[in-house]
Amino acid sequence: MTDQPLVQATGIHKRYPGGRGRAGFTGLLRALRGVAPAGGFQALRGVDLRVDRGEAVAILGENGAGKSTLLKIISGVLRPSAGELQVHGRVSALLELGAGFHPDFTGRQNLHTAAGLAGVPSGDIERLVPEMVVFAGLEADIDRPLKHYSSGMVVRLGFALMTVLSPDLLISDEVLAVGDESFQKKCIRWLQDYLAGGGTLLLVSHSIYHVQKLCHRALWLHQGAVREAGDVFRVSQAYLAYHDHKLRGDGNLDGTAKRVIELTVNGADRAGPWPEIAHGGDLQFQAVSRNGGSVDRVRLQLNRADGSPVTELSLAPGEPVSWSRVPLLPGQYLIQAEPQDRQGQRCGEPERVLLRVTGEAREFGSVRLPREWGDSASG
Amino acid sequence: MANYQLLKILTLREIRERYLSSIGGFAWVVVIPLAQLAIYAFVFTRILQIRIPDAETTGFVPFLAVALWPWTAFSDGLTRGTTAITENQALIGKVAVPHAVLVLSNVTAAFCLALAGYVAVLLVMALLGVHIHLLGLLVSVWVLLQIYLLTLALALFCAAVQVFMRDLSHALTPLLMLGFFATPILYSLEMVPTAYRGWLSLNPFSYFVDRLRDGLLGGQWHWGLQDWVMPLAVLIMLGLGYAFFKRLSPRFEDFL
Repeated sequence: MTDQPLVQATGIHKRYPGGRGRAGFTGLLRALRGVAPAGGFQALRGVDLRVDRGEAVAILGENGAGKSTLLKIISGVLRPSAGELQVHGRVSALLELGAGFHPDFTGRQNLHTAAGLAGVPSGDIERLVPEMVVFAGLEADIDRPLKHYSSGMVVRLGFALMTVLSPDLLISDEVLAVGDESFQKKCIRWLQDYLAGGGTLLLVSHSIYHVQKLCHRALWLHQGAVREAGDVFRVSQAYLAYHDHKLRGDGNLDGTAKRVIELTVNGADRAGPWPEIAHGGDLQFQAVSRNGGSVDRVRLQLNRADGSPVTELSLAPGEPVSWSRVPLLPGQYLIQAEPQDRQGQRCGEPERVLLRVTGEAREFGSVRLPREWGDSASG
Repeated sequence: MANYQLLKILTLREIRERYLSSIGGFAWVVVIPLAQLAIYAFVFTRILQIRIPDAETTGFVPFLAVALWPWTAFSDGLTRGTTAITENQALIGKVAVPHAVLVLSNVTAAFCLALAGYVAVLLVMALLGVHIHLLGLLVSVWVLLQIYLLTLALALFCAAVQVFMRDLSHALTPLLMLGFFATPILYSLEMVPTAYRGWLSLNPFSYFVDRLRDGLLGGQWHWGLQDWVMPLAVLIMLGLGYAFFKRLSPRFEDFL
């Protein structure tokens, strides 16, 4: 029984039929005849997911990739159009804001109702509500109607509800993002305790920081299908790289206008596959002059994926340069080589190559400098 | 057991929601039908000066009151039950609630509210000297149970259709008005020209109203063929309504 997966989803498809009005009537007839709905939008195309007990799995993807649909299907709110889903255990889901709260009721009334809907026996609700109020830190506002709450306060209430449900599987859809800094920390701490206590988590978050901090595995959904799945660091880095690529624009990366140099990083050029090194690995650059340009120097910049500069270097065309034991933290980096003429002016299109640094690190920043403990600086 | 708790919570939620933001609160449960009763009584006894052969002994107000509340329960229950799914889409999209419980709780809430008013009015009439037969109370419980189940059957059907076609709740308003006047609530079946009487007696509500009046005001309990067929028909309706609802409910989320 123990090695039975908590969630086993195979080939999950979900199609939302479009439209109202006349479409509603045909939808009604089709449902009566037991025929699959026609047309519409395909939100999920054959997604496989297995979640074992005690695992924390993140689901990554762009807006509209099908993340919320998948979570709704697993939590039982939506039914898949095709595919097989087995869930063994008590599931508690916090989907988007509110958890089905009613705006006219007070926070306290909503907690009562929501806890009851989640299956908490009525005897326990009385006891648990004060506990939830304290966790949410809403003692002062708990008897005000929910419509006067800020969205952050509503999320606090929803999260506080989850803390008392003690489910086997906890599903959280982009919930951490709304609370303020201290509440986010409180939630993370609670989630870590929950995971340490053997709980299972399925998390959707756009915060790669939260994802890497909490989860072991990740699933990257792209246009309704699994693009990559596996170790959280590998998948989240690939996901970030994809975004970086998208943000900078493919045209820019592939532009052929006035290419006067060609940059290779560890032998790989901009056509890809992107060069990849492990944290602490070596890097070798070479910029070769081409198309007969009068390139004097090449200015090489290394930036983080978000554009913030890390370091730079100047090299002559045709002359390889190496860095050894590169201390860059795992993540995505953009290497840009700018050809310069004798006057130091740019004389052609810069070359860009994306670099991926792999490894595990939960620290912030760009580099991990060599460290020595003790009073070594004086010596 | 879990579904029972769900039903309780959702029914209380619905009751609270309906009277939450009004100052009068639950007093409206009694005030609205009382006002309705007063208006009908004034128009029919003072202006139209209607004489109802059946109601010579009891008077028009008890005659009307006994039938008006059950109709209100039915019409209110059906209206609220029809929109149970579409109005709770925020809840359905976030919490895995069995859909039928939402319809059941809306209908139940409507009946609880109407029954509270019914009991109040029967009490007031008894205090004012109208003879309410004790046997009739038993009859009314039996009849109201049938009305409740029939309302539920129709509400399950309508709630399912409403998800796909929002027109239904609009169409329901005139249909219920037609039903109100096609039921001998304001008049008695004897006053209807014989040509139409057959049609009107096909209306199940004619039967319910008749039994309620005979029970509460006349102290009679009927054991005719009709009294066996009706509960059976109601149960069959309920089964059909539930089957229809069950068939459509997996597709609800797609159309919400």
